[in-house]
Amino acid sequence: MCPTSVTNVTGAAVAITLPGAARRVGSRMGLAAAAADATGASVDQLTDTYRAHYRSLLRLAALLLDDLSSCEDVVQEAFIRVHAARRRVRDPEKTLAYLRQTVVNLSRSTLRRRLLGLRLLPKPMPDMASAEEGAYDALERDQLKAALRGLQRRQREVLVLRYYADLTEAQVAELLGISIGSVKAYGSRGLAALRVQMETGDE
Amino acid sequence: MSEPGLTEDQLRERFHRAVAAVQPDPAALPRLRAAVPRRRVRRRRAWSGAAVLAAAVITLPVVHAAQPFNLSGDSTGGSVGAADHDRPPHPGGIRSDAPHRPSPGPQTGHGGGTDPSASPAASGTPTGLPVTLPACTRTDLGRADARQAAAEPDTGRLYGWFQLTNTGGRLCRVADPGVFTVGGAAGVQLTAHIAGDPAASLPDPAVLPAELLLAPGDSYLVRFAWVPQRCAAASPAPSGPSGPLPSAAASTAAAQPAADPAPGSSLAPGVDPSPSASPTPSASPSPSPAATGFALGYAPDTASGPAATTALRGDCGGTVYRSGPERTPAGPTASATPAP
Repeated sequence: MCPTSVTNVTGAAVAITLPGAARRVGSRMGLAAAAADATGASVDQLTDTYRAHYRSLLRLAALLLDDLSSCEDVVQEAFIRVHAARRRVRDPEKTLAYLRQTVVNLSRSTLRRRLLGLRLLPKPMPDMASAEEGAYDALERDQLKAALRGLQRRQREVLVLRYYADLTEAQVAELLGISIGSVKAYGSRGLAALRVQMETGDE
Repeated sequence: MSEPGLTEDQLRERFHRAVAAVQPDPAALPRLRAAVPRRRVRRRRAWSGAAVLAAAVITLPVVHAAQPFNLSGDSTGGSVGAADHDRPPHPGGIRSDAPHRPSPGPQTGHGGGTDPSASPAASGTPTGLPVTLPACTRTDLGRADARQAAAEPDTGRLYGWFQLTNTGGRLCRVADPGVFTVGGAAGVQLTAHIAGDPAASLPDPAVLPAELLLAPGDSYLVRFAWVPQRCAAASPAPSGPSGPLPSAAASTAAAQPAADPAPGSSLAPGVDPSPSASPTPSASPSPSPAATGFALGYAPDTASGPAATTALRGDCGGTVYRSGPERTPAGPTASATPAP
Protein backbone atom coordinates (compact mmCIF):
# COMPACT_ATOMS: atom_id res chain seq x y z
CA MET A 1 0.00 0.00 0.00
CA CYS A 2 1.26 3.36 -0.92
CA PRO A 3 1.79 5.42 2.22
CA THR A 4 0.43 8.69 0.87
CA SER A 5 -2.85 7.15 -0.06
CA VAL A 6 -3.08 5.50 3.31
CA THR A 7 -2.59 8.84 4.97
CA ASN A 8 -5.42 10.18 2.90
CA VAL A 9 -7.58 7.27 3.87
CA THR A 10 -7.17 8.08 7.52
CA GLY A 11 -7.88 11.73 6.87
CA ALA A 12 -11.06 10.89 5.07
CA ALA A 13 -12.35 8.72 7.86
CA VAL A 14 -11.56 11.37 10.41
CA ALA A 15 -13.75 13.71 8.42
CA ILE A 16 -16.59 11.22 8.58
CA THR A 17 -16.60 10.40 12.24
CA LEU A 18 -15.44 12.51 15.10
CA PRO A 19 -12.78 14.82 13.80
CA GLY A 20 -11.27 16.05 17.02
CA ALA A 21 -11.49 12.84 18.94
CA ALA A 22 -10.11 10.75 16.16
CA ARG A 23 -7.12 12.95 15.68
CA ARG A 24 -6.33 12.85 19.37
CA VAL A 25 -6.72 9.13 19.25
CA GLY A 26 -4.33 8.99 16.35
CA SER A 27 -1.56 10.62 18.31
CA ARG A 28 -2.22 8.49 21.36
CA MET A 29 -2.12 5.41 19.22
CA GLY A 30 1.24 6.54 17.97
CA LEU A 31 2.46 6.60 21.54
CA ALA A 32 0.97 3.25 22.25
CA ALA A 33 2.68 1.73 19.27
CA ALA A 34 5.94 3.30 20.36
CA ALA A 35 5.53 1.59 23.70
CA ALA A 36 6.21 -1.62 21.84
CA ASP A 37 4.61 -4.83 22.89
CA ALA A 38 3.43 -4.13 26.39
CA THR A 39 0.01 -5.71 26.68
CA GLY A 40 -1.44 -2.71 28.40
CA ALA A 41 -0.45 -0.52 25.52
CA SER A 42 -2.05 -2.80 23.00
CA VAL A 43 -5.27 -2.97 24.97
CA ASP A 44 -5.42 0.81 25.03
CA GLN A 45 -4.73 0.80 21.39
CA LEU A 46 -7.64 -1.52 20.79
CA THR A 47 -9.90 0.76 22.76
CA ASP A 48 -8.66 3.78 20.88
CA THR A 49 -9.17 2.19 17.52
CA TYR A 50 -12.57 1.02 18.62
CA ARG A 51 -13.63 4.48 19.62
CA ALA A 52 -12.30 6.06 16.51
CA HIS A 53 -13.47 3.64 13.87
CA TYR A 54 -15.80 0.94 15.07
CA ARG A 55 -19.04 2.76 14.47
CA SER A 56 -18.19 4.04 11.02
CA LEU A 57 -16.99 0.58 10.03
CA LEU A 58 -20.20 -0.93 11.38
CA ARG A 59 -22.15 1.47 9.22
CA LEU A 60 -19.97 0.68 6.26
CA ALA A 61 -20.76 -3.00 6.77
CA ALA A 62 -24.43 -2.15 7.09
CA LEU A 63 -24.33 -0.59 3.64
CA LEU A 64 -22.36 -3.43 2.12
CA LEU A 65 -24.38 -6.28 3.57
CA ASP A 66 -27.94 -7.28 2.93
CA ASP A 67 -28.02 -9.33 6.06
CA LEU A 68 -27.92 -6.79 8.82
CA SER A 69 -27.52 -9.29 11.57
CA SER A 70 -24.04 -10.06 10.25
CA CYS A 71 -22.70 -6.51 10.40
CA GLU A 72 -21.58 -6.66 13.96
CA ASP A 73 -19.95 -10.03 13.43
CA VAL A 74 -18.10 -8.85 10.39
CA VAL A 75 -16.72 -5.78 12.12
CA GLN A 76 -15.86 -7.74 15.24
CA GLU A 77 -13.97 -10.27 13.21
CA ALA A 78 -12.15 -7.54 11.32
CA PHE A 79 -11.06 -5.93 14.58
CA ILE A 80 -9.94 -9.25 15.98
CA ARG A 81 -7.96 -10.20 12.91
CA VAL A 82 -6.25 -6.89 12.54
CA HIS A 83 -5.41 -6.57 16.22
CA ALA A 84 -4.25 -10.13 16.58
CA ALA A 85 -1.50 -9.36 14.08
CA ARG A 86 0.59 -6.88 15.97
CA ARG A 87 2.42 -5.65 12.95
CA ARG A 88 -0.84 -4.44 11.53
CA VAL A 89 -1.49 -2.12 14.42
CA ARG A 90 2.03 -0.77 14.73
CA ASP A 91 1.29 2.01 12.35
CA PRO A 92 -2.01 3.58 13.40
CA GLU A 93 -2.32 5.28 10.09
CA LYS A 94 -2.49 1.96 8.36
CA THR A 95 -4.75 0.33 10.91
CA LEU A 96 -7.88 1.90 9.52
CA ALA A 97 -6.95 0.86 6.00
CA TYR A 98 -6.45 -2.73 7.15
CA LEU A 99 -9.70 -2.66 9.05
CA ARG A 100 -11.65 -1.27 6.16
CA GLN A 101 -10.19 -3.74 3.75
CA THR A 102 -11.01 -6.62 6.07
CA VAL A 103 -14.57 -5.41 6.51
CA VAL A 104 -15.02 -5.23 2.76
CA ASN A 105 -13.55 -8.67 2.23
CA LEU A 106 -15.57 -10.26 4.99
CA SER A 107 -18.73 -8.60 3.81
CA ARG A 108 -18.11 -10.02 0.44
CA SER A 109 -17.49 -13.54 1.66
CA THR A 110 -20.54 -13.31 3.88
CA LEU A 111 -22.62 -12.47 0.85
CA ARG A 112 -21.04 -15.29 -1.04
CA ARG A 113 -21.65 -17.76 1.71
CA ARG A 114 -25.25 -16.87 1.85
CA LEU A 115 -25.52 -17.38 -1.87
CA LEU A 116 -24.22 -20.85 -1.24
CA GLY A 117 -26.90 -21.34 1.35
CA LEU A 118 -24.40 -21.71 4.14
CA ARG A 119 -25.30 -19.60 7.02
CA LEU A 120 -22.34 -19.39 9.33
CA LEU A 121 -23.38 -16.47 11.40
CA PRO A 122 -26.23 -16.65 13.79
CA LYS A 123 -27.80 -13.47 15.06
CA PRO A 124 -24.93 -11.75 16.80
CA MET A 125 -26.52 -11.14 20.15
CA PRO A 126 -30.06 -12.01 21.04
CA ASP A 127 -30.46 -8.92 23.14
CA MET A 128 -29.04 -6.69 20.48
CA ALA A 129 -31.92 -7.56 18.24
CA SER A 130 -34.36 -5.95 20.62
CA ALA A 131 -32.22 -2.96 21.49
CA GLU A 132 -31.23 -2.11 17.96
CA GLU A 133 -34.22 -3.41 16.15
CA GLY A 134 -35.64 0.00 15.60
CA ALA A 135 -32.46 1.29 14.06
CA TYR A 136 -31.98 -1.68 11.83
CA ASP A 137 -35.59 -1.72 10.84
CA ALA A 138 -35.41 1.88 9.80
CA LEU A 139 -32.41 1.06 7.71
CA GLU A 140 -34.05 -2.01 6.32
CA ARG A 141 -36.99 0.02 5.22
CA ASP A 142 -34.86 2.64 3.71
CA GLN A 143 -35.48 2.80 0.04
CA LEU A 144 -31.81 3.33 -0.71
CA LYS A 145 -30.98 0.07 0.92
CA ALA A 146 -33.51 -1.72 -1.20
CA ALA A 147 -32.06 -0.11 -4.28
CA LEU A 148 -28.54 -1.13 -3.31
CA ARG A 149 -29.69 -4.68 -3.30
CA GLY A 150 -30.35 -4.47 -7.00
CA LEU A 151 -26.78 -3.48 -7.82
CA GLN A 152 -23.88 -5.66 -8.76
CA ARG A 153 -21.55 -6.31 -5.88
CA ARG A 154 -18.71 -4.27 -7.31
CA GLN A 155 -20.96 -1.37 -8.14
CA ARG A 156 -22.27 -1.35 -4.64
CA GLU A 157 -18.82 -1.51 -3.10
CA VAL A 158 -17.55 1.32 -5.25
CA LEU A 159 -20.50 3.54 -4.47
CA VAL A 160 -20.38 2.89 -0.75
CA LEU A 161 -16.63 3.40 -0.55
CA ARG A 162 -16.74 6.51 -2.70
CA TYR A 163 -19.76 8.21 -1.22
CA TYR A 164 -20.06 6.85 2.28
CA ALA A 165 -16.43 6.33 3.23
CA ASP A 166 -15.36 9.26 1.03
CA LEU A 167 -12.42 7.49 -0.51
CA THR A 168 -10.92 8.77 -3.70
CA GLU A 169 -11.15 6.73 -6.86
CA ALA A 170 -7.51 5.80 -6.46
CA GLN A 171 -8.06 4.60 -2.91
CA VAL A 172 -11.07 2.54 -3.92
CA ALA A 173 -9.07 1.05 -6.76
CA GLU A 174 -6.32 0.04 -4.40
CA LEU A 175 -8.66 -1.37 -1.78
CA LEU A 176 -10.62 -3.44 -4.25
CA GLY A 177 -7.59 -4.37 -6.29
CA ILE A 178 -8.99 -3.06 -9.55
CA SER A 179 -7.95 -0.28 -11.90
CA ILE A 180 -9.04 3.32 -11.54
CA GLY A 181 -10.78 2.99 -14.87
CA SER A 182 -12.83 0.13 -13.49
CA VAL A 183 -13.69 2.15 -10.43
CA LYS A 184 -14.98 4.92 -12.63
CA ALA A 185 -16.96 2.50 -14.75
CA TYR A 186 -18.49 0.68 -11.79
CA GLY A 187 -19.24 4.00 -10.15
CA SER A 188 -21.03 5.57 -13.07
CA ARG A 189 -22.95 2.44 -13.97
CA GLY A 190 -23.82 1.87 -10.35
CA LEU A 191 -25.08 5.39 -9.95
CA ALA A 192 -27.17 5.08 -13.08
CA ALA A 193 -28.60 1.77 -11.91
CA LEU A 194 -29.34 3.27 -8.52
CA ARG A 195 -31.22 6.15 -10.10
CA VAL A 196 -33.34 3.75 -12.09
CA GLN A 197 -33.99 1.57 -9.07
CA MET A 198 -34.98 4.46 -6.89
CA GLU A 199 -37.28 5.95 -9.49
CA THR A 200 -39.08 2.70 -10.06
CA GLY A 201 -39.17 2.20 -6.33
CA ASP A 202 -40.97 5.51 -5.92
CA GLU A 203 -43.66 4.83 -8.40
CA MET B 1 -37.92 11.26 -2.99
CA SER B 2 -37.76 10.81 -6.71
CA GLU B 3 -34.86 12.96 -7.67
CA PRO B 4 -34.67 12.03 -11.32
CA GLY B 5 -30.99 12.70 -11.31
CA LEU B 6 -29.67 11.58 -7.96
CA THR B 7 -26.55 13.65 -7.56
CA GLU B 8 -23.38 12.47 -5.93
CA ASP B 9 -23.92 14.81 -3.03
CA GLN B 10 -27.43 13.56 -2.57
CA LEU B 11 -26.21 10.02 -2.61
CA ARG B 12 -23.62 10.85 0.01
CA GLU B 13 -26.28 12.38 2.19
CA ARG B 14 -28.64 9.45 1.66
CA PHE B 15 -25.94 6.98 2.64
CA HIS B 16 -25.25 8.75 5.87
CA ARG B 17 -28.90 9.15 6.66
CA ALA B 18 -29.57 5.50 5.95
CA VAL B 19 -27.13 4.29 8.59
CA ALA B 20 -27.32 7.15 11.04
CA ALA B 21 -29.21 5.03 13.52
CA VAL B 22 -26.83 2.08 13.41
CA GLN B 23 -24.96 1.91 16.68
CA PRO B 24 -22.49 -0.60 18.04
CA ASP B 25 -23.69 -3.28 20.36
CA PRO B 26 -22.82 -2.16 23.89
CA ALA B 27 -21.04 -5.46 24.41
CA ALA B 28 -18.87 -4.99 21.36
CA LEU B 29 -15.81 -3.55 23.05
CA PRO B 30 -15.76 -6.02 25.95
CA ARG B 31 -16.06 -8.83 23.48
CA LEU B 32 -13.15 -7.51 21.48
CA ARG B 33 -11.06 -7.10 24.59
CA ALA B 34 -11.56 -10.74 25.38
CA ALA B 35 -11.30 -12.01 21.85
CA VAL B 36 -8.14 -10.28 20.68
CA PRO B 37 -5.78 -11.85 23.23
CA ARG B 38 -7.40 -15.22 22.60
CA ARG B 39 -6.78 -14.91 18.90
CA ARG B 40 -3.19 -13.92 19.51
CA VAL B 41 -2.65 -17.05 21.54
CA ARG B 42 -4.20 -19.13 18.81
CA ARG B 43 -2.02 -17.57 16.20
CA ARG B 44 1.04 -18.27 18.27
CA ARG B 45 0.02 -21.85 18.83
CA ALA B 46 -0.79 -22.26 15.20
CA TRP B 47 2.69 -21.18 14.29
CA SER B 48 4.44 -23.31 16.86
CA GLY B 49 2.15 -26.19 15.97
CA ALA B 50 3.13 -25.82 12.35
CA ALA B 51 6.79 -25.86 13.33
CA VAL B 52 6.34 -28.98 15.42
CA LEU B 53 4.45 -30.60 12.61
CA ALA B 54 7.12 -29.75 10.08
CA ALA B 55 9.81 -31.20 12.30
CA ALA B 56 7.70 -34.25 12.92
CA VAL B 57 7.02 -34.86 9.27
CA ILE B 58 10.73 -34.76 8.61
CA THR B 59 11.83 -36.99 11.44
CA LEU B 60 8.98 -39.40 11.97
CA PRO B 61 7.42 -40.24 8.67
CA VAL B 62 5.35 -43.19 9.81
CA VAL B 63 4.32 -42.25 13.24
CA HIS B 64 0.68 -41.79 12.49
CA ALA B 65 -1.67 -44.44 13.68
CA ALA B 66 -5.08 -45.45 12.63
CA GLN B 67 -5.73 -45.67 16.29
CA PRO B 68 -5.51 -42.42 18.18
CA PHE B 69 -3.45 -44.11 20.80
CA ASN B 70 -2.02 -47.41 21.61
CA LEU B 71 -1.36 -46.77 25.17
CA SER B 72 -0.61 -50.16 26.47
CA GLY B 73 2.30 -50.40 24.11
CA ASP B 74 1.51 -54.04 24.16
CA SER B 75 -1.17 -54.92 21.73
CA THR B 76 0.37 -58.30 21.10
CA GLY B 77 -0.27 -59.10 24.71
CA GLY B 78 -3.74 -57.78 24.14
CA SER B 79 -4.41 -60.10 21.29
CA VAL B 80 -3.17 -63.10 23.14
CA GLY B 81 -5.60 -62.28 25.86
CA ALA B 82 -7.98 -61.40 23.14
CA ALA B 83 -10.69 -63.48 24.54
CA ASP B 84 -11.26 -60.76 27.02
CA HIS B 85 -12.77 -57.41 26.28
CA ASP B 86 -9.51 -55.83 25.23
CA ARG B 87 -9.76 -57.38 21.90
CA PRO B 88 -10.56 -55.08 19.03
CA PRO B 89 -13.79 -56.18 17.47
CA HIS B 90 -12.33 -57.19 14.14
CA PRO B 91 -10.67 -60.55 13.84
CA GLY B 92 -8.06 -59.23 11.47
CA GLY B 93 -6.89 -56.91 14.15
CA ILE B 94 -6.98 -53.97 11.80
CA ARG B 95 -6.77 -51.64 14.71
CA SER B 96 -3.92 -53.32 16.40
CA ASP B 97 -1.50 -53.35 13.54
CA ALA B 98 -0.82 -49.70 13.99
CA PRO B 99 2.75 -48.86 14.87
CA HIS B 100 3.45 -49.17 18.52
CA ARG B 101 4.28 -46.25 20.54
CA PRO B 102 5.35 -46.19 24.15
CA SER B 103 2.64 -44.89 26.34
CA PRO B 104 4.19 -41.60 27.35
CA GLY B 105 4.71 -40.74 23.73
CA PRO B 106 1.13 -40.61 22.60
CA GLN B 107 0.09 -38.87 25.69
CA THR B 108 2.39 -35.95 25.45
CA GLY B 109 2.21 -36.01 21.73
CA HIS B 110 -1.51 -35.81 21.62
CA GLY B 111 -1.71 -33.46 24.48
CA GLY B 112 0.68 -31.02 22.95
CA GLY B 113 -0.35 -31.65 19.44
CA THR B 114 -4.04 -31.44 19.62
CA ASP B 115 -4.27 -27.90 20.67
CA PRO B 116 -2.21 -26.42 17.90
CA SER B 117 -4.02 -28.58 15.47
CA ALA B 118 -7.26 -27.06 16.53
CA SER B 119 -5.84 -23.61 16.27
CA PRO B 120 -5.00 -23.43 12.61
CA ALA B 121 -8.49 -24.51 11.88
CA ALA B 122 -9.85 -21.93 14.19
CA SER B 123 -7.78 -18.97 13.23
CA GLY B 124 -6.75 -20.02 9.81
CA THR B 125 -10.09 -20.91 8.34
CA PRO B 126 -10.69 -17.87 6.24
CA THR B 127 -14.42 -18.12 6.37
CA GLY B 128 -14.70 -18.92 10.06
CA LEU B 129 -15.89 -16.29 12.42
CA PRO B 130 -15.29 -18.19 15.60
CA VAL B 131 -16.82 -15.65 17.90
CA THR B 132 -20.34 -16.67 17.07
CA LEU B 133 -20.23 -19.98 15.30
CA PRO B 134 -23.11 -22.25 16.20
CA ALA B 135 -22.46 -25.09 18.57
CA CYS B 136 -22.50 -28.54 17.06
CA THR B 137 -25.86 -30.11 17.77
CA ARG B 138 -26.89 -33.68 17.64
CA THR B 139 -28.05 -33.24 14.08
CA ASP B 140 -24.60 -32.04 13.01
CA LEU B 141 -22.83 -35.00 14.51
CA GLY B 142 -22.86 -38.57 13.41
CA ARG B 143 -20.80 -41.66 12.67
CA ALA B 144 -20.46 -42.19 16.37
CA ASP B 145 -17.79 -44.68 17.26
CA ALA B 146 -16.30 -46.09 20.41
CA ARG B 147 -12.97 -47.85 20.77
CA GLN B 148 -10.99 -49.47 23.49
CA ALA B 149 -7.31 -50.13 23.64
CA ALA B 150 -5.92 -53.22 25.28
CA ALA B 151 -6.07 -53.25 29.03
CA GLU B 152 -2.91 -53.00 31.02
CA PRO B 153 -2.18 -56.57 32.06
CA ASP B 154 -1.36 -56.02 35.68
CA THR B 155 -3.95 -53.46 36.64
CA GLY B 156 -6.73 -54.01 34.14
CA ARG B 157 -6.64 -50.32 33.46
CA LEU B 158 -8.04 -49.59 30.06
CA TYR B 159 -8.18 -46.56 27.79
CA GLY B 160 -10.65 -45.81 25.10
CA TRP B 161 -12.40 -43.06 23.31
CA PHE B 162 -15.59 -42.01 21.66
CA GLN B 163 -15.50 -40.33 18.33
CA LEU B 164 -18.06 -38.20 16.55
CA THR B 165 -17.92 -36.70 13.10
CA ASN B 166 -19.48 -33.57 11.74
CA THR B 167 -21.78 -35.13 9.19
CA GLY B 168 -23.72 -31.94 8.60
CA GLY B 169 -22.97 -29.33 6.02
CA ARG B 170 -21.90 -26.50 8.25
CA LEU B 171 -18.96 -25.50 10.32
CA CYS B 172 -19.77 -25.81 13.98
CA ARG B 173 -18.18 -25.50 17.36
CA VAL B 174 -17.64 -28.09 20.07
CA ALA B 175 -17.23 -26.37 23.38
CA ASP B 176 -19.31 -28.58 25.62
CA PRO B 177 -17.45 -31.54 27.11
CA GLY B 178 -20.46 -33.73 26.56
CA VAL B 179 -22.12 -36.22 28.85
CA PHE B 180 -20.86 -39.60 29.95
CA THR B 181 -23.30 -42.12 31.29
CA VAL B 182 -22.74 -45.34 33.12
CA GLY B 183 -25.50 -47.83 32.67
CA GLY B 184 -26.25 -50.89 34.69
CA ALA B 185 -23.42 -51.02 37.14
CA ALA B 186 -23.17 -50.48 40.81
CA GLY B 187 -19.96 -49.20 42.26
CA VAL B 188 -18.78 -47.46 39.10
CA GLN B 189 -17.81 -43.87 39.57
CA LEU B 190 -17.50 -41.27 36.88
CA THR B 191 -15.13 -38.38 37.27
CA ALA B 192 -13.30 -35.86 35.16
CA HIS B 193 -9.63 -36.56 34.63
CA ILE B 194 -7.23 -34.29 36.42
CA ALA B 195 -3.49 -34.26 36.38
CA GLY B 196 -2.09 -36.70 38.91
CA ASP B 197 -4.94 -39.15 39.00
CA PRO B 198 -4.55 -42.82 38.07
CA ALA B 199 -5.58 -42.24 34.47
CA ALA B 200 -2.15 -40.87 33.75
CA SER B 201 -2.24 -41.45 30.03
CA LEU B 202 -5.20 -39.22 29.41
CA PRO B 203 -4.19 -35.83 28.12
CA ASP B 204 -3.61 -33.14 30.67
CA PRO B 205 -6.83 -31.10 30.84
CA ALA B 206 -4.77 -27.95 30.63
CA VAL B 207 -3.66 -28.70 27.11
CA LEU B 208 -7.03 -29.63 25.74
CA PRO B 209 -8.52 -26.99 23.50
CA ALA B 210 -11.28 -24.93 25.05
CA GLU B 211 -13.28 -25.44 21.92
CA LEU B 212 -12.97 -27.09 18.55
CA LEU B 213 -14.16 -25.96 15.20
CA LEU B 214 -15.41 -28.83 13.13
CA ALA B 215 -15.65 -28.40 9.41
CA PRO B 216 -17.97 -30.82 7.66
CA GLY B 217 -16.25 -34.19 7.74
CA ASP B 218 -14.01 -33.37 10.69
CA SER B 219 -14.06 -35.59 13.74
CA TYR B 220 -13.35 -35.13 17.37
CA LEU B 221 -12.84 -37.62 20.12
CA VAL B 222 -13.26 -37.76 23.83
CA ARG B 223 -11.00 -40.15 25.69
CA PHE B 224 -11.74 -42.03 28.83
CA ALA B 225 -9.94 -44.37 31.13
CA TRP B 226 -11.42 -47.26 33.03
CA VAL B 227 -9.65 -48.07 36.24
CA PRO B 228 -11.28 -51.12 37.79
CA GLN B 229 -11.15 -51.76 41.46
CA ARG B 230 -9.26 -54.85 42.51
CA CYS B 231 -11.50 -57.47 43.86
CA ALA B 232 -10.71 -58.43 47.36
CA ALA B 233 -10.64 -62.16 46.81
CA ALA B 234 -9.66 -63.03 43.29
CA SER B 235 -7.80 -59.95 42.34
CA PRO B 236 -5.36 -61.32 39.80
CA ALA B 237 -7.88 -63.29 37.86
CA PRO B 238 -10.11 -60.70 36.29
CA SER B 239 -7.45 -58.33 35.17
CA GLY B 240 -4.58 -60.36 33.82
CA PRO B 241 -4.34 -60.87 30.09
CA SER B 242 -4.84 -64.56 30.29
CA GLY B 243 -6.55 -64.68 33.63
CA PRO B 244 -10.05 -63.75 32.65
CA LEU B 245 -10.25 -66.16 29.82
CA PRO B 246 -10.68 -69.32 31.82
CA SER B 247 -12.96 -67.76 34.32
CA ALA B 248 -15.09 -66.08 31.73
CA ALA B 249 -15.22 -69.14 29.59
CA ALA B 250 -16.03 -71.25 32.54
CA SER B 251 -18.72 -69.10 33.94
CA THR B 252 -20.51 -68.58 30.69
CA ALA B 253 -19.56 -71.69 28.87
CA ALA B 254 -23.04 -72.96 28.69
CA ALA B 255 -24.53 -69.77 27.45
CA GLN B 256 -22.15 -68.56 24.80
CA PRO B 257 -19.03 -70.58 24.70
CA ALA B 258 -17.68 -69.27 21.44
CA ALA B 259 -18.86 -65.75 21.48
CA ASP B 260 -15.72 -64.22 22.66
CA PRO B 261 -12.91 -66.40 21.43
CA ALA B 262 -14.32 -66.55 17.94
CA PRO B 263 -12.79 -63.36 16.63
CA GLY B 264 -9.40 -64.36 17.88
CA SER B 265 -9.92 -67.95 16.99
CA SER B 266 -6.39 -68.81 16.09
CA LEU B 267 -5.16 -67.65 19.42
CA ALA B 268 -7.95 -68.63 21.67
CA PRO B 269 -6.99 -71.68 23.60
CA GLY B 270 -9.34 -74.38 24.48
CA VAL B 271 -12.54 -73.26 22.88
CA ASP B 272 -13.26 -74.20 19.35
CA PRO B 273 -14.60 -71.25 17.47
CA SER B 274 -18.12 -71.82 16.43
CA PRO B 275 -19.20 -70.05 13.26
CA SER B 276 -22.75 -69.73 14.36
CA ALA B 277 -21.77 -67.35 17.09
CA SER B 278 -19.65 -65.07 15.02
CA PRO B 279 -22.24 -62.42 14.14
CA THR B 280 -22.74 -61.66 17.76
CA PRO B 281 -19.15 -61.06 18.70
CA SER B 282 -18.53 -58.74 15.83
CA ALA B 283 -21.16 -56.46 17.26
CA SER B 284 -20.21 -56.72 20.88
CA PRO B 285 -17.44 -59.15 21.43
CA SER B 286 -16.37 -58.33 24.90
CA PRO B 287 -19.20 -57.79 27.29
CA SER B 288 -21.33 -60.80 26.86
CA PRO B 289 -19.35 -63.20 28.96
CA ALA B 290 -18.51 -60.68 31.61
CA ALA B 291 -20.21 -61.34 34.83
CA THR B 292 -20.68 -57.69 35.70
CA GLY B 293 -20.26 -55.56 32.68
CA PHE B 294 -21.67 -52.13 32.16
CA ALA B 295 -22.21 -49.80 29.27
CA LEU B 296 -20.33 -46.55 29.15
CA GLY B 297 -22.12 -44.05 26.96
CA TYR B 298 -21.22 -40.69 25.55
CA ALA B 299 -23.48 -37.95 24.28
CA PRO B 300 -22.34 -34.61 22.89
CA ASP B 301 -25.10 -32.83 24.77
CA THR B 302 -27.83 -33.46 27.23
CA ALA B 303 -30.56 -33.35 24.63
CA SER B 304 -30.86 -37.07 24.18
CA GLY B 305 -29.37 -40.41 25.09
CA PRO B 306 -25.86 -41.59 24.37
CA ALA B 307 -24.60 -41.29 20.83
CA ALA B 308 -22.30 -44.25 21.35
CA THR B 309 -21.74 -46.81 24.03
CA THR B 310 -18.99 -49.23 24.81
CA ALA B 311 -19.00 -52.16 27.15
CA LEU B 312 -16.64 -52.30 30.07
CA ARG B 313 -16.09 -54.96 32.64
CA GLY B 314 -15.72 -54.42 36.29
CA ASP B 315 -16.43 -57.20 38.66
CA CYS B 316 -15.81 -55.07 41.66
CA GLY B 317 -16.55 -51.58 40.49
CA GLY B 318 -14.07 -48.90 39.65
CA THR B 319 -13.74 -45.43 38.24
CA VAL B 320 -14.20 -44.01 34.79
CA TYR B 321 -12.05 -40.97 34.16
CA ARG B 322 -13.23 -38.81 31.34
CA SER B 323 -11.27 -36.35 29.26
CA GLY B 324 -12.58 -33.56 27.02
CA PRO B 325 -13.08 -33.12 23.31
CA GLU B 326 -10.01 -32.99 21.14
CA ARG B 327 -9.50 -33.12 17.44
CA THR B 328 -9.14 -36.60 16.04
CA PRO B 329 -5.54 -37.13 15.01
CA ALA B 330 -5.50 -37.51 11.30
CA GLY B 331 -4.68 -40.68 9.51
CA PRO B 332 -2.25 -41.17 6.67
CA THR B 333 -2.50 -37.68 5.31
CA ALA B 334 0.61 -36.46 6.98
CA SER B 335 -0.12 -32.82 6.44
CA ALA B 336 -2.93 -33.02 8.92
CA THR B 337 -1.24 -35.26 11.44
CA PRO B 338 -1.14 -33.20 14.55
CA ALA B 339 0.55 -35.30 17.00
CA PRO B 340 3.79 -37.10 16.73
